[in-house]
Amino acid sequence: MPNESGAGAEIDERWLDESSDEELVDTFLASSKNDRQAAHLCFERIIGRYQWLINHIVRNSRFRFPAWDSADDVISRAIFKVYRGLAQWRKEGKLSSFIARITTSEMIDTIRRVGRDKSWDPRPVSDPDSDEPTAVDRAPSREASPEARAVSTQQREIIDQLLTDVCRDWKDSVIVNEYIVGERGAKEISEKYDMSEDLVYQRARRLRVRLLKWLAERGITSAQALLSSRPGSMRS
Amino acid sequence: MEVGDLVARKSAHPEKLFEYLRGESDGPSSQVIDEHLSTCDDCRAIVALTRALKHGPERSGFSLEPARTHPDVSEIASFFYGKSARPRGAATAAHVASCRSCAQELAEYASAERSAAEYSPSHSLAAEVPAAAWELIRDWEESSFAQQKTATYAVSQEMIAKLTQLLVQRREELEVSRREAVTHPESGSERAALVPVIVVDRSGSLRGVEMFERATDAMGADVLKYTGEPERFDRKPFHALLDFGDSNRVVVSDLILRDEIRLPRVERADTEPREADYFIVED
Repeated sequence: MPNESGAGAEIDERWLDESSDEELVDTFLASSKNDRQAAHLCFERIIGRYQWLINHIVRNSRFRFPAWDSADDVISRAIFKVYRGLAQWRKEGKLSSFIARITTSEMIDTIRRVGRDKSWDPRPVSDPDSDEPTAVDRAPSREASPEARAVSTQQREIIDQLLTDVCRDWKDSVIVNEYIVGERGAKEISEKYDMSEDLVYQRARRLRVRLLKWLAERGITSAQALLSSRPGSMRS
Repeated sequence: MEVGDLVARKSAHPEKLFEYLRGESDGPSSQVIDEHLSTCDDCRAIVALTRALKHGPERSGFSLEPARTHPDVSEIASFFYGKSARPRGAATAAHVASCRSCAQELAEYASAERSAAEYSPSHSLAAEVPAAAWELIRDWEESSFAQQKTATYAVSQEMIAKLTQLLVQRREELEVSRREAVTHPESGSERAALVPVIVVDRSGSLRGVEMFERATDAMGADVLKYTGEPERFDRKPFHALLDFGDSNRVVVSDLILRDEIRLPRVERADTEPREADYFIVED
């Protein structure tokens, strides 16, 4: 059992087994300055309790990791970030939720980094010495004229303003994205985002009412009228 | 049409308009919605807008520029966990509504959160921290980043909240004392630029306001000099509370050495602090 300060604690297996998450984290934090060995013991026990969760989140995600930044690498970095960030755990939520958040953020960070790395090509290479033009070579230029780009940017701003005003939280945003604009069914969305199917329908109806109100407040009666407006005039 | 009329007519609008657009309405329901659309401009506008968003430039004639800059991972996390500051959160909401990859990231948080909520750890599991994780941890522990600030040096969130409140309450008073200090009491002429520095105790209660003189040191850096009793604040932590106009203020701290403190510079892309307030926490 550790002493009150936690530093220089005599930590035995029994204490490690019986302590709550809060006690382990408190002792870890108190020991990390003066007694690193004790801090490491507490941390090992915390990870022992939550390693299954970290593994599960990384290995069951829909992301595919490249060989040079594998799931094992992501898990190691997530564990390191848990170590570094335990002082930020406010004990308002479960430790599992805190660890899940750190792990997911690390995973997304990795996927974004991999996506930016031009050398990563998940498609099989047919014949690198072939003289045949590649699909990229054959693709027509998609460069729009400056005028077209200006119109496109303006339309983007108007739509962003509309979405900013009607989406109140992340559930609204994903329902607009997947259900209203996308083709995904309510059941699939409910499973993917862990919400009930009824909630998807309810939110879609509320979004329809908010959209109607937003358009009516601005006297807009067609998509044409909306997208040819000036972005500044759209603000509520 | 007035918004009030819209509310009054709300029940007349078809509730399953999106299901209709998805092709999920049966024959009779579709017919009712078709009839409604032939007379309702508002619903027609929603239909046209949804089709424009659904089918993109080829079939709608609109060419929405795709959003290029994704919000930070931390912003996506805050959005999911409901702690995003409103203006930034609203921008994230709009982005996610039209960005497949960010929506996918939210799905990852949702899935992880469900696993975390259902997970019940066994207390006696043996640890298997991977060697690569220990390597990262040991590298970090040996670097200066792992060294904690001393208690007297760090400023808690609670203290920042108290100081912000104090500044709001005493803003006018501080401005008067600054004006009085700048003007010489006898000649009325202007003295060197003086900056009020608030002195508080550990509980955040006001002890007084001390004037520091703004100057430039040998390296060309902006400094504040205390011209009162020598070494009164020597080696005491000095904090600058910088307001960039968003919800979080930035605190930068340093020690006063030989009655002088170098003014901290915090650079953020395309923005300067709107206000800077300085304080000393004294035991």
